[in-house]
Amino acid sequence: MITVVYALTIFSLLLCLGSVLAAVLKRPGDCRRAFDVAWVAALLLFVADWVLAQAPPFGNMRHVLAFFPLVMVPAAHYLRRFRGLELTAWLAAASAIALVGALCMPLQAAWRQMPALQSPWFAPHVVAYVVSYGLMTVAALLTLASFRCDARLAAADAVVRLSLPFMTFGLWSGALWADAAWGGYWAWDIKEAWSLLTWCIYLIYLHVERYPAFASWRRPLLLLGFAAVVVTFLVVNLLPKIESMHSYAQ
Amino acid sequence: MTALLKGGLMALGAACVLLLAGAFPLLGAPEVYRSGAMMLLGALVVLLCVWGGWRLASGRRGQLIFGLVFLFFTVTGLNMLFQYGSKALEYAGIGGPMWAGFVGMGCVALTGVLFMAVFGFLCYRVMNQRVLWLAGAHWAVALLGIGAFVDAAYEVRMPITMPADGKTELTELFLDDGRHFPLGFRLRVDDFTVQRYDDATYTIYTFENGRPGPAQPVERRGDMLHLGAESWPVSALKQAPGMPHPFLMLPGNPARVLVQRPGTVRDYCAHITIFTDHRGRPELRKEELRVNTPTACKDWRFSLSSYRQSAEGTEVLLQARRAPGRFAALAGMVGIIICTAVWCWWRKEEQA
Repeated sequence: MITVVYALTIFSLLLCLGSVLAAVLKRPGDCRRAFDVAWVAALLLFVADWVLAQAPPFGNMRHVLAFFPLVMVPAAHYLRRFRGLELTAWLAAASAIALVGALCMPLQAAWRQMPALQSPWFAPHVVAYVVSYGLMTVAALLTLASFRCDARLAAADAVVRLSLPFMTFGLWSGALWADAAWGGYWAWDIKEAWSLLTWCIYLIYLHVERYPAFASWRRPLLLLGFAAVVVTFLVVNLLPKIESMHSYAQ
Repeated sequence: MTALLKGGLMALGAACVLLLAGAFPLLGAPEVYRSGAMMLLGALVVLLCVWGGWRLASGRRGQLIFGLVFLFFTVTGLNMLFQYGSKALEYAGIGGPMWAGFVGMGCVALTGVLFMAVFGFLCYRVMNQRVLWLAGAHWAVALLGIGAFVDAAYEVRMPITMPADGKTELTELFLDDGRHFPLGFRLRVDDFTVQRYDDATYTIYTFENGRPGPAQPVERRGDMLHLGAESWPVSALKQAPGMPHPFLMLPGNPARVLVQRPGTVRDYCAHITIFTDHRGRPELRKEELRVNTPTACKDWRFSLSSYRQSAEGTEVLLQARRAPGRFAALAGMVGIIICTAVWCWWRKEEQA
């Protein structure tokens, strides 16, 4: 089963890279098809992870990173269909980054879901954050690209607007969950503090984005927000010296 | 509007700087968050949110207030669905008269659906402009801030350690700062159960000249434990007074002991009894306290934090909390989630 998990991760990664390559070669149909197949591979990977862990596979960093393509493909369809934005290649690139990260993480076969995680809030909280962080990665990539083409910044704005409600849900559903599990909705845990900081940076962005006077703030704020996402998601969890109530996510 | 926006930006920027100062990864999360600076900043954010929401809803404030009331009832319906839906699942897991449970839960769920349908429709009709949801998000932040302020001033929180002996009763709380709070009821932990995953490990410890030597892991195959050519039945390991884990003394010299390390904890549950009163008549409540399902009595909420097991018995670690601002804070959080989602996802061309 471990071989299957690795094979599916690599297959999914290659398809995401293929999707990006097809976009570079100006073949949008192939780009979408490759990303759709990557979604099927990611779904199979999710099932394999579930079988291996004997629980919903959100127990460690590898599980969560491997879940990214599963939410990025529907987001690409949504953006194309309802927002008129063809961002498949960008979402595929973000998924590829996440899958490379998943391949770098150790594969812990058995994951035991501790009592605090056995809550109806668990899956929605994690999934909302995965969607949000994935989309914010896309927004950051688009912001970098906007230094060459200004139109990308408008696309980044649309992606942030799609993503922020997921981040908001992730942050405050975590507080509602903590109220039941830990006897208090806020404990100023380092992960909570960084999540709040990240949310505040994106709030500043939303406050300034429609005013021409603040136009020069937009790119730095989006990049700063993404840096905060990276610290919240990776650094806080991976630095061994940090004591956190969220340490089970390490 | 620009002055208000600049004020809001400065407040948010200051909040970010303060959060960054405290939340730098290697420093951990220090006491800076409970300092006067954070309180002052919180008060400023609340005032700016109230003002910002008020200005955004200019000319449509009545609509906004009615809309938020309808939204509150819609969320109440959703809460009923969520709470009782999960209880129905739990009930189905326990067994018993399934049809009665499902009929009861179904009725409550139907009420929740009706609440959501009626008040959700009214909310949708009244809050039919995107900017009202933005104003609602600002007021929700203010509501959360007010709740958090009330809690910062009046919250009482205390960890409690209680033996699960069915005799010791909790009647009052003594805080470290000398304050004393009579509960107005009695709470007793009758029993405590732990469920574990089937991943127990077995180790042989060798003692040479009274000192512990190297530990050797033992492999389990079926009901037998194997180490090289030696094997022992799992059932041979026994509990003994004063020993935390099952063990087996092995014959021979040097002295060896085979110890079972218990499997990972899957779930634990404290069976508690609360002696209280309801409408002047004594009431006895027997409840199961789990990690994600706290219980409440009068103004107090009790959460199960952890436990300690020793040869003398089990001690249960509870958290007692009285938080008068909790409801406002939680309502604010739900309001932020809903209002932000609607505002962000509402198509821009529908604004007009």
